[in-house]
Amino acid sequence: MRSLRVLQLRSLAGPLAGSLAVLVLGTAFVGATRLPSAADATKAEFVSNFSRWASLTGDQRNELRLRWRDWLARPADQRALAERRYAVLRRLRQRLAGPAGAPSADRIAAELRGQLEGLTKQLRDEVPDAPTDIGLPDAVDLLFRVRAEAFFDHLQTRGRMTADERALLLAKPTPALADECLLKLKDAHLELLDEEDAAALADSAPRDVAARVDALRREHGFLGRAASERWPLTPEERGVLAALPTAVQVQQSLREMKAPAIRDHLQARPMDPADIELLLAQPWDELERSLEELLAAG
Amino acid sequence: MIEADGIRLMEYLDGTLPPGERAKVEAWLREDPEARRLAREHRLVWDALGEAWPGLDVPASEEFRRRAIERARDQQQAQANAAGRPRRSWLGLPGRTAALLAASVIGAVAMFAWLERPGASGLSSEDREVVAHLDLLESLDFVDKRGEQLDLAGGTELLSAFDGELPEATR
Repeated sequence: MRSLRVLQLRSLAGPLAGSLAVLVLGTAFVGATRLPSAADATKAEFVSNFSRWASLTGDQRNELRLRWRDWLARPADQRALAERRYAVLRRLRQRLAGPAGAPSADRIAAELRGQLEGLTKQLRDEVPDAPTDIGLPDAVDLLFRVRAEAFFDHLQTRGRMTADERALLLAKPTPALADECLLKLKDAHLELLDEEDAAALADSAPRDVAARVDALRREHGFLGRAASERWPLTPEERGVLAALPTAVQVQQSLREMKAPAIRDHLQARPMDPADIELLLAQPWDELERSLEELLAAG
Repeated sequence: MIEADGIRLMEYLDGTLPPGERAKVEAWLREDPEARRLAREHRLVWDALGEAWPGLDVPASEEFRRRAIERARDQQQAQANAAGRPRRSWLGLPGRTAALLAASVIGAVAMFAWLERPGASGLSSEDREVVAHLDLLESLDFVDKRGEQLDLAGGTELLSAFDGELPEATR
């Protein structure tokens, strides 16, 4: 009798599995179509948030509802400021997240303190004659304008920017200048990325693209496909890059790792040793672009 | 009457039943006229056989009897199983599969319609916004408390994005 029941169950297993699959798909479809179209939360985030929401107590939910009403009562400019700060926090959390998950608030606070100390040192090293009483926000402006001018120099040298456009942009206040620079840098990065990555990042905010570019360099080395395939990272090199705290340290380390192989390759083309050294001494972004163009030319 | 009862009756007439079983068969014969009729027929057959082959004296084979009884019991079990087995659906396996799948699709569509009905008991519009901005709301204390530090961290982030544009000598 028992074997008969087993046989009956086996004969029903296929249809039952199919039915369950249809039910699961149906439920997923229902769930997906019921998600709200909130502008600043993706559906995946919403699902994750909803899971957390479902685990909260009634009091915790009421507290969040009150916070939401307070948030809506804030003036628009204060909300915009808080959203910018929150975006920085999100990227920081993403960068500091480890295998154990999101970093703690203490870990984030320690990272912020470390960044401020680094900023002070950076100012002393890069602009020794800066006023001693300069505030850190002004120091950031000063340091950023140095970088913007260097960036525009490269664009102008390559014929991608006219002298007039350069002067016009540099006359803008720093926040507006930063936006323009980030957009141009995003375009430059998207040109180097392969089509799939570029398409995935096309609609992302420029700072998110910059963060993604840093992550890609840590994973693949060079941003351009030709150069990353010609000089791939070894697992050991990848481990070294993963441990570095800043993007510029990643670039410096990559240069040290790959310069001998690049030198060998260019000498074999052949290329004049003096030109090779000039090429290798370029800023990292310029080096990446030059190598990609050289490899594409064959 | 099932075949096993007939065999028990023959064992009784053959005199091979143990005393306890024998008493049960005798009680059965007293109560059941059908059993008595069968017993009479068996006796007639056995007597006739005895007259036709008077010199034939085949010793009783215990092994044969045991196997016959086992076969009868197996048959009895098979009949009982057949009686308890559910009838096979006229639809057959493919038909039942299609029916189950169709029922599941109908169930999923019904669930969708139920959840989408006007006034469905899902999240309120306010709760939807709260859930959509849950991480922001939970981070607001930190954002408000460390606003200036986050501004500077944003500045550092900006510098870092353009560090690659600087000549090595300036770093």
